[in-house]
Amino acid sequence: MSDQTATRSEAMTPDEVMRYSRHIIMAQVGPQGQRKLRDAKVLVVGAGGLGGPVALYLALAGVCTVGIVEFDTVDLSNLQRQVLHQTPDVGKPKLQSAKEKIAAHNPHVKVVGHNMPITSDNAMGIINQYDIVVNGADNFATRYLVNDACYLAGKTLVDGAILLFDGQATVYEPGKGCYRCLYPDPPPPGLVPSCAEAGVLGAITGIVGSIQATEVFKKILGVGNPLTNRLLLVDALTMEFRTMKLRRDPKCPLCGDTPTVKELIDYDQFCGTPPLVMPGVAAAAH
Amino acid sequence: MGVSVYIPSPFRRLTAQHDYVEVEGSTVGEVLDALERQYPGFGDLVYDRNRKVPAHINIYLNNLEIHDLDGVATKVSDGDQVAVLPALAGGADGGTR
Repeated sequence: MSDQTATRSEAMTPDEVMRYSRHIIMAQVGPQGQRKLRDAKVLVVGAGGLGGPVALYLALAGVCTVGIVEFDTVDLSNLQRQVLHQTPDVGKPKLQSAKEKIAAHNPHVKVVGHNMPITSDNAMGIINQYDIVVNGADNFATRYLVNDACYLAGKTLVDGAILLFDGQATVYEPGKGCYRCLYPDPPPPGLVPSCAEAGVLGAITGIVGSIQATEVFKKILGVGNPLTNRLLLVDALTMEFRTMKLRRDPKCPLCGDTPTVKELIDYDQFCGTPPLVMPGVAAAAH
Repeated sequence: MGVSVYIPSPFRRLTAQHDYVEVEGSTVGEVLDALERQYPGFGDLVYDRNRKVPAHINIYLNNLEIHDLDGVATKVSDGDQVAVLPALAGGADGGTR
């Protein structure tokens, strides 16, 4: 055990006890649970609409290692819903903005920045550093990539998606069903609009992101019934919540009985989307 | 009394913004066909060119996905609820790929 690890395993400081007192007094958390939160390592894919509230609530709760995959800069059009970023941050790297906000909320949190696209080449290396992965990506290629990488790495994936007034959330545990079981193939490019194309209610990001953060806490603490094998649907217009049953598909190419996807693939090709071209990056990552 | 079909907000532009539509039918397929007759264009969302439900659309009967039942041949009864749900991808808006 390293000195750093030994330090982290020690009792909480008086400051930590005061900061997290509303958690610690709950029977489902207690000092032991709070230390579990502190020692957990959680990766958030995207520091936008969903990743923002997830990262903030993880930090507020005292999850002291939060990884964030994000390479975009803050745009004025983000500020309608992305709570991590504020008006003076426009033009700033989202990762920098996220680190500053999280540090202001809780200086005990270490934000590990992954200032790059998540690709088939780097996904396993990134994901393997964490206990739990939260997906806040905004495109199908990344959703399939993160799903496959989490399954292959044996990591819990807390998934969420939003569009217009609707949100979806679920938890994929390796071997108990995955995104491919729910949606075996992506829609043809352009058929399902993005938030930029169709719009999204800002507050729905807070609802779904908070649900994702809650599922992370439950997983770390080992309490409650996770959203595993259930797809939670949020309809903000009717303000109805419903859960659909999910199951592992024995024919799933990833987690089924006779898998054919045994390593990460080219997800741009799979989704029919053009490969990403970043300024200054010669080859597009898949 | 027929079958109530739940329409999520991304599809409501095709149902005059109705969130629930009552239609008649004895199978899920007949329900979808009735919906298509009532709202022309809806069929283009729930069927591909081969009249199959595409893999990015899930149809639920009383919260169970119809592939776990008998697909579009699944029998429905008065008072049942069908939901037509698309895959959504919105979340970060930009910087993950």
